[in-house]
Amino acid sequence: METLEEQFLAYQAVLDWMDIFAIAFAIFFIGDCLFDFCFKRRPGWKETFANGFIFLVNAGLDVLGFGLLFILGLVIFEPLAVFDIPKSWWYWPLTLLAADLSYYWMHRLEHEIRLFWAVHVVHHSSPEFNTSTAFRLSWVESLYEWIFLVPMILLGFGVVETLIAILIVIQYQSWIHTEKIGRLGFLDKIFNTPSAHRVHHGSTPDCIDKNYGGILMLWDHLFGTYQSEPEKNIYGITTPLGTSNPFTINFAEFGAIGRDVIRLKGMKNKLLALFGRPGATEQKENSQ
Amino acid sequence: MRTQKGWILGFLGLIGVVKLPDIMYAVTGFGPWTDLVHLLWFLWFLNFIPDFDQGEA
Repeated sequence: METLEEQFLAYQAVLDWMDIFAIAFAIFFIGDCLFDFCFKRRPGWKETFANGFIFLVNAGLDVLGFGLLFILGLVIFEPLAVFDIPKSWWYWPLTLLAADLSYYWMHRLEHEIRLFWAVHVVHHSSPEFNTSTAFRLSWVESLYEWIFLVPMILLGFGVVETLIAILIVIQYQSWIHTEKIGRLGFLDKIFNTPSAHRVHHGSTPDCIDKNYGGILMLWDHLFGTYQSEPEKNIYGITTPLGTSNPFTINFAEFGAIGRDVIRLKGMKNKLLALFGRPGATEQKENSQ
Repeated sequence: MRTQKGWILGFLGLIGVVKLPDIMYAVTGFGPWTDLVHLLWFLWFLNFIPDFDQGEA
């Protein structure tokens, strides 16, 4: 039996192209920053530096083995696979499709369950929307996100193939955090384009909880969460953080949940504060 | 925000991404420096930049 390392090496060409895509995005990121600096297009640079700092800490955590959790978590479930999917020509398209669907539901639950939102809000709390937003990902995401890939492993997809597919889905999304690319016609309805993703980062009622897709917008059309881009958009969250402190950005919502759990009376209310929709507690209190 | 008329031509910039390995070899000295000319493909991406209305960021 091949080791995981040998299995990864079998896909070296794919990994090489992912490196090339990363370099292309780095060029885009530098160009975006230079453009905004020269033409004074950013209100300030605090958010960009905060995003950069968050990214560097994430890179450090990966070195420390946080990324390995993803692999270990999935390897445990591999022997429990129900099917043995043959590696025919349709294997990779199916793996990518399954990874994209898994990503859709992971992303949707991260928006609709407050405990997960406390993690994912890091990516949404910036009032700015530019290429550096792609770097703004929570420090604790990799502790649990692998759980959403377990169904794929149980269905019989390989651990390595699943990991590569989800990495492709995640890496695809690096270029869509920008206002420098306008609407792309019919493509905005099929793929997660910058226009489709600007809607996802909007904080107005018509944009909230919309366009969860990773690569394809198909899932949003299927499950009723698709929204085309409005003329005006306000980025960020409904209650702005008001700080660019990376530690506050990462843990503020956890603090808010903790305060609500202590403050609220009754197990039902405490559970609502933890697992209800973000804002459900306030909504309930206001209606009483 | 209005998309440029020739936005579809922006996709020609992807040729620059395909040529990126050659560009990297040229930058690191392992390939002919003339391959740097492929950087010009990236200019096609400028077709994607929308026209912003007055007052927009």
